[in-house]
Amino acid sequence: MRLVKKIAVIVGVVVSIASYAQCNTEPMVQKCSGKLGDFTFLKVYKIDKIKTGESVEFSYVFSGNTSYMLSLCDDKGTESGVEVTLYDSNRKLVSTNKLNGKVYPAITYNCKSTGIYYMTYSIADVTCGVSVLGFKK
Amino acid sequence: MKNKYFIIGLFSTLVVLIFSSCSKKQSADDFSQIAKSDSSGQISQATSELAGQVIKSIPPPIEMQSMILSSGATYNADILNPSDEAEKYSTNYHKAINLGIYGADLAYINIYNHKEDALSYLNTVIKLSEDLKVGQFFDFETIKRVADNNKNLDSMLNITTSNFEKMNNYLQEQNRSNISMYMLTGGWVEALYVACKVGLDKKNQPLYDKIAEQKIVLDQVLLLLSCYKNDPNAKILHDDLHELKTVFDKIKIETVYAEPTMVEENGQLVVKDNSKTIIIAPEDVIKEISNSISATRAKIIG
Repeated sequence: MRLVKKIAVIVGVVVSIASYAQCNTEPMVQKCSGKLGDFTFLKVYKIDKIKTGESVEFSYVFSGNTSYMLSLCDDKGTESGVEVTLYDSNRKLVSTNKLNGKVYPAITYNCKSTGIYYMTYSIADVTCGVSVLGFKK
Repeated sequence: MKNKYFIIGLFSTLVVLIFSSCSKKQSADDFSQIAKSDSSGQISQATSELAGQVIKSIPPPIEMQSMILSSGATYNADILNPSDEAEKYSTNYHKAINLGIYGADLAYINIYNHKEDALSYLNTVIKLSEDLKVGQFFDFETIKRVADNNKNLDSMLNITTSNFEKMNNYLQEQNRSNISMYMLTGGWVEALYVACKVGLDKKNQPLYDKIAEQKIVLDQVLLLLSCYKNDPNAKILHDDLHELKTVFDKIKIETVYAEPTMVEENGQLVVKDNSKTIIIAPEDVIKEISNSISATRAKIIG
């Protein structure tokens, strides 16, 4: 009986590790790409290696006189599980999708100033998420 | 008796899990052999993660190519790398960097809705992708069907851009980010080359400005290449593009800052950038950039 318990624990650990590592981002990428509308697809940012309270940062060279959309999706389909904060090349805050108590599922940024921008992502009450970047001239 | 079956069941589960992880390991080993074959030095996990971050920061060719269409320039297939040249690329380095070149050419063709050329270049992209063991991201028949079912090639453009993105993500997950680095560099070189050709031909200032903005992207490309400093091919590319940087240094890009404003439009959050960028990009500097990038591209396409 002891052996059974040991094996059960091992299997439980292996299965839980496997399921933790497998955050299926593809359906979220599809959903988030669909939110882009008339914006042209550019990049996918996966937010799948952090927990609630942690953050991950990506960057992208934004071009002046171009509109960008950052759409956000999470594995629970809550539309509010991923937060993004956008900073300009001088690390000045540009915007966040959490504004006045509301969490927006996307940000459109009408960029006038060319430079490298930083996107800091965090998650709340979800396991993982993705953000898809699109552009429009 | 019940316990016996229970133990057998548990063991079976473990065996399946162990075997599935072994098969994954085998596959990863195959890929790492490909990665090693063109690289004399491996990079650390931290450097690999940095490279992955930098790769995410570099715009795909489609952004520059879209400006070419806006300039009013007509379609010119003669400036592209001929699709039937792919056969001569024998090393993984040449295949990967020219996959980037052809990917940028495909984006240019898609923007101009030239279906026949698009399918020809798509074939070349698929051939090189298969050689690099990433052919699973391009299914010719599916993409052709999408092209056939649409009056314009917007959907094909989105599919190919997104497939390249998936390929890059996969390569990084498989510790083959050097292949991704070559593809990205090749794509950027080709997009800049085509933009210079068209810009100078049309004497188009917005296109000159777009070329000038590549000064910022070039810094990212150089940072990416520096992650692979032990790779002789990456070093040559780095040195060539560092020469280009000395030309780009003649370009002035200044930003006048103003606080952004946020509004809600139709339930969407829209952020308006009130800063502006002043770009000083004289034509003679654009010509120098064109000459430098043409020389680098000539070395790449052979």
